[in-house]
Amino acid sequence: MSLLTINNLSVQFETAGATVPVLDRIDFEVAAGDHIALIGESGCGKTVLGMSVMRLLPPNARITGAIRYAGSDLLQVAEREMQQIRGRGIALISQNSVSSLNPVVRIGDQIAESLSLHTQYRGDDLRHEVIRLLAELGIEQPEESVQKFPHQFSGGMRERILVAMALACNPDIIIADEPTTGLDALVKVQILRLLKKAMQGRTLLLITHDLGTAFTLASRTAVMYAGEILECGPTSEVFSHPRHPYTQGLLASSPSAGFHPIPGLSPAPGQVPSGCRFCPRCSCAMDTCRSLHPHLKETGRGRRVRCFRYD
Amino acid sequence: MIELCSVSKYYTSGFFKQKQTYAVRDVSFSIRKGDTLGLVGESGSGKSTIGRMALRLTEPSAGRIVFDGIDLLAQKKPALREIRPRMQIVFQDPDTALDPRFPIGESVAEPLAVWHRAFRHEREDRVAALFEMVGLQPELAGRRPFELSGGQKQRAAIARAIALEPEFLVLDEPTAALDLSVQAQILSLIQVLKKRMNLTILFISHNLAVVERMSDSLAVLHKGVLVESGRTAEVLEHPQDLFTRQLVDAANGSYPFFRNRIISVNE
Repeated sequence: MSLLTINNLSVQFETAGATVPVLDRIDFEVAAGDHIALIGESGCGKTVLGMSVMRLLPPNARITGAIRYAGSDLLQVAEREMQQIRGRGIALISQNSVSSLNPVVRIGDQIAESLSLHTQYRGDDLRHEVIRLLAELGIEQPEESVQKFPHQFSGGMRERILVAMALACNPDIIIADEPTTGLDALVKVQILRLLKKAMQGRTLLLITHDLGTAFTLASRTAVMYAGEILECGPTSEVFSHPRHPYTQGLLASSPSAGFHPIPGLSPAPGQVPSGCRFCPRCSCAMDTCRSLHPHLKETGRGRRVRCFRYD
Repeated sequence: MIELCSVSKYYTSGFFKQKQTYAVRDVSFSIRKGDTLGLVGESGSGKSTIGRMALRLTEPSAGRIVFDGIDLLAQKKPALREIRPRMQIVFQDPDTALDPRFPIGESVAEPLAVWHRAFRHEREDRVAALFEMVGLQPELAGRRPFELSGGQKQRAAIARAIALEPEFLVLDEPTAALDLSVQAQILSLIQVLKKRMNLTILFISHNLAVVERMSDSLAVLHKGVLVESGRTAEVLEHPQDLFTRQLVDAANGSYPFFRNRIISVNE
């Protein structure tokens, strides 16, 4: 039973000069209890995808398609209804803990905000719930910490606070956008452990460029490139037997694999090639790849690949 | 080629400057000609301070730095100026390292002009040659940094750093701001240049997996103190210090799919 279904989702940004397509006909489902990672490099559209689900894109975004959640299409519901869903139905662990926390509000009050909007907790109960959340996420001296401001915490602790805020109202789906970016190696391991534990029994949509984070947290992985999904399947399969040449290149690029680079650059949004979008950088490109655009095809064992080599 | 002998950097504060806060304490290491030393540590451990001190861009509070037999700290300004072109640095963030007002071609040509290494009419050819060395298309020379991708900017920063054919290069987190596939491109470029120019490199990074591939020897920094150093493979296989061990475990934990298994890239 799928909890969240994304159908034919396209996003374009209207800028002064032109309309720039960022996401192109994305289709995927998130089942209850699933941990799905969207991996890809900067500019591939993974954050825009997360933000469209939260409906937090700027007003110049043109969104088409459907995002079905709890019987309604999130792109059609009224803003008032969306406010009920944000935080309670779908919560976001946003990118960059420095800019996503309000620097002049005590962290206790920031966590309490969504609790007081969506739950019955008030007064002392509310305070205790916030303290309980902080303690659960490994923040030392939670009673004192609620009085502190974001700048008084380290990067790892701020990340924990963001996780606490997302978990506060016990949402159905958690979208985590780059939760480990900018953290030191040892802190990153702690946060990964914490997230792994916190996400047990929950549904996670993880957005990351870090292969290690995806491998650790996600049971399924979708690889994005230039606004499309190129490959998806069970994480262990995608990582051990990557099928799409881009996934293979990405894995071979990582330092532990010997950083064999993929030649060329990701296309800028709006300047994607007409055939297969990866074709100019692909070592196994054929004539078909240059002229036709491949579809995402089932290749068995729950895997889908957008490549003519698997026709 | 370069040697640091118990180099420290502290900042003073308080009444009569009695309070000393150490950023780097008693750090010693040396790099042989043509070798790469990887310096790893967490943010705030003093990696960048050491990199800057090795070039005397930051004045050490104590210690000795010897570059090719020359005591760097004993040099007066004019003498230091003569040594400067032999040592260069590439910073983490190419956005702040390149002047946003200059087309990158001019940024790369600037050291040549300052050091009178090429006549004006030759400069263009030299810049074109440097662009080719770092894999930048010549037509990008007229672009300003904001018109380029992160990888292209970092290539330009590297071109500028190697313009004077230095012997010693400090690379301060050169790929931290880049995507995985671009990081791989820049790292292999650095290895090609290292061989071609017989560069001695101080490679600063927080990423153990990157350093493992890039460096002959390794120094691990923790809170301003060098906790372990040695040949890269040795340190990684038999880490002695607790902090190094934790780092190695963290790196293994982050990329378990690469350990003990060769990934099949072509099914």
